[in-house]
Amino acid sequence: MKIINNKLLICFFILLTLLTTSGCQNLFIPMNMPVVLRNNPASNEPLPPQISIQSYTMVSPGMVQDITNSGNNLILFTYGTTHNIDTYNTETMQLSSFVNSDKRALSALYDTFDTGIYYAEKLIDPITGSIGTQIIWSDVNKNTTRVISQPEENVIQHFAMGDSGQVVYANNNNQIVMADSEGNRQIYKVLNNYNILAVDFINKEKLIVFLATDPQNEERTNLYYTKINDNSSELSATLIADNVNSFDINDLNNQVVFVKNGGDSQTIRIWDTNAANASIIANGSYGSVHFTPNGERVIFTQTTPNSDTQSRSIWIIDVNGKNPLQLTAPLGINSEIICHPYKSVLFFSVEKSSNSINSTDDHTLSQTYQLTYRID
Amino acid sequence: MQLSYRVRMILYNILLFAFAFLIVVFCVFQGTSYYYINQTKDTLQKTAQDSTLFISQELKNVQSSDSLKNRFNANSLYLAKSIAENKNHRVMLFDTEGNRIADSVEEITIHNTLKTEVDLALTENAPVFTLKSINDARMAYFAAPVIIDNTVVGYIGFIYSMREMDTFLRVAGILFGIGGVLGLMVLVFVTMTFSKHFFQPIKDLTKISNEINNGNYNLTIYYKHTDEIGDLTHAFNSMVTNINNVILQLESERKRLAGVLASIDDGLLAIDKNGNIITSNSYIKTYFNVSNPKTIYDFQYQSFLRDIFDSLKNGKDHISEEIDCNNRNLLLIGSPIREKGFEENYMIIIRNMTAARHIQEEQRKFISSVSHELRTPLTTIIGYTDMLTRRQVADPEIINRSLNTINREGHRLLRLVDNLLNVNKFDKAEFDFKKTNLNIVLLLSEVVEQMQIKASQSDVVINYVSDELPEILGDYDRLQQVFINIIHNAIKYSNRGDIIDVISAIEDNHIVVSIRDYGPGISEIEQKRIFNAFYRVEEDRSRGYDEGGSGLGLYIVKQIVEKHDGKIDIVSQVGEGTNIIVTLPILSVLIYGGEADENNK
Repeated sequence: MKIINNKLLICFFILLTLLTTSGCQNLFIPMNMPVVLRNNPASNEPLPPQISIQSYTMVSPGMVQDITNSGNNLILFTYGTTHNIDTYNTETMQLSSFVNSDKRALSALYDTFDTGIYYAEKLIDPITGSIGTQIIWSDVNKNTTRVISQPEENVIQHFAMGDSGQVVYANNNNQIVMADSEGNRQIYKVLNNYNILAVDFINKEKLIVFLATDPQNEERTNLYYTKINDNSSELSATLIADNVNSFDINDLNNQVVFVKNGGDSQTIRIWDTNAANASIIANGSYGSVHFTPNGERVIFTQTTPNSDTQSRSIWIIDVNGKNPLQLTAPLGINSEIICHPYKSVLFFSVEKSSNSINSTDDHTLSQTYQLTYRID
Repeated sequence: MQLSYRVRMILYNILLFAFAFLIVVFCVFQGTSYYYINQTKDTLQKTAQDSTLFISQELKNVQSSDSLKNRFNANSLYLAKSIAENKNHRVMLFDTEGNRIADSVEEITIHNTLKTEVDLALTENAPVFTLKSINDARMAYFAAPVIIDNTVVGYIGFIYSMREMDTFLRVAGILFGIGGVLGLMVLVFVTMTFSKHFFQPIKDLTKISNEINNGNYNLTIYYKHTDEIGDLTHAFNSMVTNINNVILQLESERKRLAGVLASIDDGLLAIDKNGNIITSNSYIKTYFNVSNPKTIYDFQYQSFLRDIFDSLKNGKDHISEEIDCNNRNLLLIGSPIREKGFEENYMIIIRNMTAARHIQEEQRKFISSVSHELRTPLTTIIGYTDMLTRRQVADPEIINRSLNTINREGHRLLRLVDNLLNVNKFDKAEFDFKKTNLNIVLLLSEVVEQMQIKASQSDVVINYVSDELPEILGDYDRLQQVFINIIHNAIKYSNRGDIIDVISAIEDNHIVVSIRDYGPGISEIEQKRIFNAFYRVEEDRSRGYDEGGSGLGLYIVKQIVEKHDGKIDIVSQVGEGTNIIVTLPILSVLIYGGEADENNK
């Protein structure tokens, strides 16, 4: 018995010594030993799709806003002495001025048939000093310009297009308006007084999806949807998800993709209009999300975790949440990501770093890039 | 060195604590490093990917017909600085051969930094990670190929400081150190306190065991909990009680045996095989004047004891032997003590036979004198009858005298036999007196008057003088016999013309009767024996004319007086006469004396 005890004690002490000496050493990666890091070296799964960047070119200065259905023309905002809206032909690489105005344009979209451009511009009443926003339509040949919104309306910046040439927007009167360039207007009253920030419209379903301030918490924004009923001019909204930052719709699949905040991290979720709940496809730290035009993939921007820079990198992911692929290094992206309607091309604008530009202009200067990628 | 149980327990506890604590420290340190290193690895891989994309973007943005590789080499310094600016750590770029082409930090001294990693990355075509410790600061060295459009254009390397991990580990180490010391102190304190609580019952047990060792059996331990210690305490207490009971029982048994031994009138000696004395009683000491003998050899002057012991040892079963020792007649009986399951021991009993022998001697003497006494008259009778038969005596006077003699001797025989019967009677305990209240003066007057007739035959005068005396309790006939005997003797030893003075008086609550003659007196030696049976003064035997005494007269007198709680004394000198004094208690004194006796009881 005593001998066993002694042996136990000796073992105990050896173990103790080993523990004490190894406590400060880390056992997982030894010191001064190079470790080769391979991704799934012994995986039997088929190789994940590889992405390759075909080209990455500077298109033009300016902040990209929209692209035509043909994919030939872009809308760019440039800021000089005046606020300019330019169009850029991707074929000829020709930048042509569309509007020069002293009013600042906030957002611009081509109309459904690429015949004109709807844009929102900031109005400052010279007498009262009150700030408002109006929507103006102008045909591409710059022959006709019409103010679409009513003078008493204060239009929100982010509006959307219907499939028959009309613009869908929300105003400060808690109304959602569908108007076309011919002057036809349909006004819907949204019940329960939402402070709407952005709207989008799914034509097939006649579904309006909008982002509004959370009634309980001013700092949060929730995503709602409402269905247009032909017999009624009133809309009652239903919550899709709360605490949502950014969203995009896809007309082909009747889907909504959005970024939901939750504690430290965010999730990308896809909500099908027929489904009750949204499905999570990714988890991370995200900026904005967009569907690719065919609705098969989601393009999103992501900030680097544990990094204090505001740079975001562009990623692409399948709608089922598989194959996340990085498209760019972290960049100071300051526009939406615009997808080419049928090519694997992205347009986006990057904030120019101050030291590379000699400018005293207080406006942000942007450079628009064109990224061509290929997924094998 | 032998550590106490308590110290050992404390040490074990400390060891256990240290072990557990070190395991925790180990796990925390390992976990932390694992987490940090993995995170660093991930970050560096991410950075490498970002950097590759950045390089790709930058290179593709340059409108040039050059190959990507050349563009990479040409713009390497700009690229390295740009990446380093974004990532805040040192960035190095290498060409496809593994030669350094750019470094975000201008460094001249060491040229082969990251060389190993880049070479390995070149061979393996995969990122390589190395954890290094430089000046006690943990650094991560990382090298990865830059792959643009599936072509390796060069290699990128990072030197990443893991300052956060070092800081965390240092702080954690200090905190754990403080925590460990505090924990150890608390542990020692708590263990000491608790061990006191745990060991108190054991200490009590030890203390009480020692007390019991010293013979104090009346102790119990008090422990209030009914746990294992409680069971032990309970068992211990009942054990002590049982032992105490058994010891008390043995003790009382021993005392009883000792009492039995002590109350035996004989000396007793029990000896074991080696001669050691097991038991002895006080008579041994009295007989042999040896105090506290331990062995048989302590009896130096009693070799006979050793002889008996030796004989018993040699297998003798029973020894009985008489010896004379210090004027005593001792009977020694030796026998072995045989008991199943024990060694053979021996016992010697020493019995004092002195008194018994003396009585035997007296009886022998008595029988011899009785036979002598019986023989004398018988001889006379036989002589006369022979003479009458053989000689055909015709003389009537002779015949008459002879017949008278035969008759007298026959009466003498009869008296002798009567007296013998009386003696026998007195010796018997059941012989009872018919005691009544009697007046001693009256009794003496009667006796004197009766004896005066006999005395006048010898020309002796009896003077009786008495005071007024109280009554006494006694047997009238017996007392008469006493005084008749005494006066008869006085007459017998008086010369013609003598007087006998009989005086009765009261003296110290006793009636004293004195009978004084003026005969030849009795020598001192004879005075001592005069009251013995069959004793007669020598010269008396030559008297032919008297019927002679049986020799039992004064013996019987003494017996009767003593039965009356009185005493008889003799005062005599040769030639001066004899005074016999009988002292008897008076009635009142007897009564009071009886009461007093009862009171004393």
